[in-house]
Amino acid sequence: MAVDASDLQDIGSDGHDIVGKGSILDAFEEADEVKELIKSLKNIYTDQISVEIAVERFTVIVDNYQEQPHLLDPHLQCFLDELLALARDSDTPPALSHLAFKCMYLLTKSYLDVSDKSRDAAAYCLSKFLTRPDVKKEKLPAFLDWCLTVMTKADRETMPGMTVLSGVLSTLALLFKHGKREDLVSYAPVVLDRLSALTVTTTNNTILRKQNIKLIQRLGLTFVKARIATWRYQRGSRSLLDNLKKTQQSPADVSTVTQGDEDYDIPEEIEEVIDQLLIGLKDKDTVVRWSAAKGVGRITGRLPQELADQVVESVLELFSLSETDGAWHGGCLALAELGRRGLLLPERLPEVVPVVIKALGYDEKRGSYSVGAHVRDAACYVCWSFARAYEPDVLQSHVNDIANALIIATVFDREVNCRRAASAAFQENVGRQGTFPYGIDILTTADYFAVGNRTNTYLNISVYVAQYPEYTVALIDHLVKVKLNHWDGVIRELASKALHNLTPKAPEYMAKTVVPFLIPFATGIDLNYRHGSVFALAEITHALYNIALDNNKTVMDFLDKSSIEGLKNITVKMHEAKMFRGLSGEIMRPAVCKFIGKLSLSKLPYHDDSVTELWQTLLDDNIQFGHQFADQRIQDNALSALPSLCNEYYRQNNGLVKPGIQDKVISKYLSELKSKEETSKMGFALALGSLPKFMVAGKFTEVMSGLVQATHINQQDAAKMVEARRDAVKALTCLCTTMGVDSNGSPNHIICKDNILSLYEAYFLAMNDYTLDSRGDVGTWVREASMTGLYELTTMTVKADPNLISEHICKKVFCCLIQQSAEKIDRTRSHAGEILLRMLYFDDPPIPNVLHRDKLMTIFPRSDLKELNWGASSDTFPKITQALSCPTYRYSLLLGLTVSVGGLTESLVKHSSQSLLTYLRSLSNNQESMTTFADTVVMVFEEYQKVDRVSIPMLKMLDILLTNGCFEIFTQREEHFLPVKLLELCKKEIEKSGDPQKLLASIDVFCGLIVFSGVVRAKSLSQLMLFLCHKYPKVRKTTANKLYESLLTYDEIVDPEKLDDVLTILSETQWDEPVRDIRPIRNNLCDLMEIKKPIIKAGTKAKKTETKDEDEMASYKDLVTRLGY
Amino acid sequence: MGLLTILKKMKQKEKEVRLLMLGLDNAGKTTILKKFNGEDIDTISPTLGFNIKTLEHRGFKLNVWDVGGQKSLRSYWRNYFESTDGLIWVVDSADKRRLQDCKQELHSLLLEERLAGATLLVFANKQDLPGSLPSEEIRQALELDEIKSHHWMICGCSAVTGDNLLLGIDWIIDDIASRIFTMD
Repeated sequence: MAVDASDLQDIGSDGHDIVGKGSILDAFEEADEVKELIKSLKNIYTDQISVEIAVERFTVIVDNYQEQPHLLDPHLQCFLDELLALARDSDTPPALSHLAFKCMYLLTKSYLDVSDKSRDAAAYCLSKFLTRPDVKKEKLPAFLDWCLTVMTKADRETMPGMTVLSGVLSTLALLFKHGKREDLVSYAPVVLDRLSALTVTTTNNTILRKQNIKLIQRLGLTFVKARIATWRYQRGSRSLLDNLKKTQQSPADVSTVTQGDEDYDIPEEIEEVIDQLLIGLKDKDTVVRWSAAKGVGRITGRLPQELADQVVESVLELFSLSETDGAWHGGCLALAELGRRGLLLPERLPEVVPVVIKALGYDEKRGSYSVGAHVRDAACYVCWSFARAYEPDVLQSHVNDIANALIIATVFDREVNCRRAASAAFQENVGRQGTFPYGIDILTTADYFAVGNRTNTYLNISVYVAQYPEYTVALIDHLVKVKLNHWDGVIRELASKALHNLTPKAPEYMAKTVVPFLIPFATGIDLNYRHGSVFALAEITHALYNIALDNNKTVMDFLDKSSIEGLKNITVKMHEAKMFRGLSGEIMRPAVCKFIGKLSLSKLPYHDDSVTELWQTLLDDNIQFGHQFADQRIQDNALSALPSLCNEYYRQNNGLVKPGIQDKVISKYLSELKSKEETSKMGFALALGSLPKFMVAGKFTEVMSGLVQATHINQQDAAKMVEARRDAVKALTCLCTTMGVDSNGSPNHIICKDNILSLYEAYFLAMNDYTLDSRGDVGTWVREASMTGLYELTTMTVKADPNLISEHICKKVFCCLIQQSAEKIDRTRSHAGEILLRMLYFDDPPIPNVLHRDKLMTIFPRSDLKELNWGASSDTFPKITQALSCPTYRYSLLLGLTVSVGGLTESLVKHSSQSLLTYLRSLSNNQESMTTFADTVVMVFEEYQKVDRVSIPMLKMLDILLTNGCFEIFTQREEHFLPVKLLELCKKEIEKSGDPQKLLASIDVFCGLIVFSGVVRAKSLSQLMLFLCHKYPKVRKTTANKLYESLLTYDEIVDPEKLDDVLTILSETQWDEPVRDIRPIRNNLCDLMEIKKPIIKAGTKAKKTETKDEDEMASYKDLVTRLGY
Repeated sequence: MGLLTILKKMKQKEKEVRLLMLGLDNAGKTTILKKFNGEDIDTISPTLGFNIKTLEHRGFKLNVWDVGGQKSLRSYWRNYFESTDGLIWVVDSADKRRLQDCKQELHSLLLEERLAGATLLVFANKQDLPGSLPSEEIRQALELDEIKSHHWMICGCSAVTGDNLLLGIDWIIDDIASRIFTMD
């Protein structure tokens, strides 16, 4: 015995205190006691008094933790194991196992108000326990009472309150699930009553509402007897065993529908239950609706036919336009559940099918988006369940409607899950019903994977399905009436493209019905439909034109006069109604540009009609202002429509341009090219580039020089106009391709020997565009466009007359490309490299005068044309550096390499510098070739002196070369030109420079230069001494560090006896102290190292001393901002 | 909650099993299915496409897919939400000439990713015909012992008389159930 009576008394009162104190317990202190208690049960169960005491004690302890059951967690396993061992042991006397269960019951009850999974387990455990025949009598009523009290008392405003309520509800639901109906039926009304009083449906907690519906459903099931509705629709005999046992081959019983006259005892409460469930179907959360739908299905199965029919009736009422999307979804789920259970009798189908088909297309606009994907998905579920539920002959009369609706959903739904669901439902129907027209063929094409890609379903699968006449018109009509008016612009455009592809399947229908139908909508008041219709009319007309072309007809053979007139008037009406303004204008503009382009392509008979003038104005307007809108396609569409318009309406039969037009268009465009607005400059440059040949003929020189002018960098707004320059280069290339090459032609008509040089010069100049702005090296766009231009121009010229490509041009082209293919931006390098190889291997005919062609071809074998990944620096640099051995390209290549070797990206620097070092090693100290290399380095440095883009990387590269001992060969001869020159260039570079990056980079170079004995070393050291007292503390510190390292690396620079002192000074001085404190130390260092002390120039000294203190701080601040600390 | 989730849930709750019945043409797949379904087996023509039948057996819901044996129809069973739990490979035991074909088809089928893990039941059908090979010989001819990737069993049967059909189905259900359904 564990506790005696007096102890219990004490603890009992203590227990009250603890409960009163609430959640102040922080551990389960009585763990051992409880364990003892459980163990003792075995010994005491016969003693009535001891048992009572033990149970009492157990209750008190567990009750204490009612608020904090998580404290029990660590011990729960152990308790349950003990209890279960007792209960399971078959030798245990009934009284003992009863006791064990009692403890378990107490334990689980306290777990109902936690919020994790253990609550579910507790609920399950309790429900199983309480429905045991031996327990239910004495415990069940008390427990239900407890539940109802907790339920009513629970405060639904607080989290713990909701958790408790949810625990209780789920226990009750499970209880009514597991319990026998007869035992529970008497309690059901009161539970239902209390539950309704709670009005859980209004709470915001989804879980609670779901538990509520679940419990109501179970209560409902308790009210009515479990039975299989005799009236339900049954589809044949389904039991495998029965079927196999049949001796003779008799056809299966088909759909037995019998009326049951049995006694149905339907309590009143069932009405309340069904009401609640129907409300649950409309809930805003899916889980609740789903639970309600299952409830409706289950309960309806137990009702007499008459009542069941009323349920179906009520479910159908959910499908009204005044109901929310949630109600539609719930309704679909309920229909599917009913159908699956055979509770939707075939007689109801004529009513149900139209509703389901409506739901398959459900899409409710909500501002700029819409809802309804879940409804459509659920409607697919209904179709899927119908396929399983009914015999083919029952569905036969609805097959066409369902098949069409499912196909439309499979092909044209916006959401991938709906397309897949529809496709699955279609498959189920094909497999089980076998009556869907061409089901198998369609299914093979529109399978689960194929419908994943929307563009594919719209443009290809729809065409495949439309070949079957059962579906053609339905597909077209759906697009025309629904999808062209879709809220999503992407869908509208896709739909119009789909209509283009579908036109060949029904040209007459399109021309005679669809086009006249759509014309009014193109200028109607609904913006979406207007946009969709204009797009669609453009696409359909063009498709009709293509069909006509194949049959030697014209588009006028399809379209009647009024349609042609109607199409013409669309733009006129829009212009008059000012439909291109504002936000709606932004949507309409790309559509109208496309429309103009397509109608021009389709050769509609509007020649010499004033409408073409309007079109020209509209296109010009969009070219000019297109960029003001976020939509890039406005300008694109306008630009691509322009050549079509010119080709069709500005050309005379003799191929020449109609008089008057050319001047008007070209002079307008050329003057706009000088605009101050970058966007209109861009637009009109591209517009000039897109003009067809006959429009430019006779004015080529003028147009060309206008464009070339536009590629030049104007110093005032270099950064601003970079995109305009890019587009001018692009346009120039376009124009070149349109005009063609003839070496003896007239420069006003064609590229010839008189103007080709100026074209090349324009491209070469554009290759030097290194404009920087906040976006980085934006000049790269111009350079890339220029490289493309060089390729196009060169290959085109070579085809016409290889002699036009002089050695000078060819050399320059290759130098440009090689330089770019060693530079740092991966994308630009790829672009350059690919063009380089394509030109190298161009053989139609080969480009003449390529210098070092053989060497280049050895470095880059033909296979590199396809395989070399120029973007990867690890692949590119080992190859391109080998070209350093070609004298012609050495300079350009080194220029490009410098930027990469001295760059910032780790992998880029690593691979480019390693490749360069490998190349230099391969020269194996050949004095002559090293000298030429050194010459080139000096040349580049001289050329780009003070040009930071190159000179800073140059300093970094020199550091790498020096530290790797690449120039060791020159150390033997005193006063070699290279170190002298480098020193001179470096000093010049940092002269008057306040750029910390540059200064820091130069420190490394000076430290590297001290290997060269004699005057170079002396001068470098004195420069470093100057740096030791530089105004930037960071420079002083870095110099000290680097010098320290260098002195350790190279011997014999300082007298070995003094070396230790020098090193100590270098390492132990606080170099960021004020300059005036450091100067004596530095001077001491100079003495030790036998360097002349730097003398402050008289002029500057005076100035410096005056401003020193503030200068100190100012310079430091300056440095901080520059380095970005 | 989309159709996909509903189907998944339903499958677990109602113990649905998806069986795919495949084999060369004229092996007797449709006959077996009709026999299962208690339909008349006197008039059967080559299956173009597929049939799906749902049967109840021992508390399981069997969705049996009978897919035409022609090569062109292979794409059906590759698709769709419900993955295949069991494969019933039907062999015409009397068609000795095509056993080699049959073996190749079966082995290439088992490489299909979507059939990974599916239980394989081989029905050596048409045992009632004189001259048909016993299942032991079919087993060797099809090199069934080579199959390590799937649980399998071979079972001689006759769709016409119904012999052994139940035995095979019982085995495949047991095997599948032990794999996919957990105790409630």
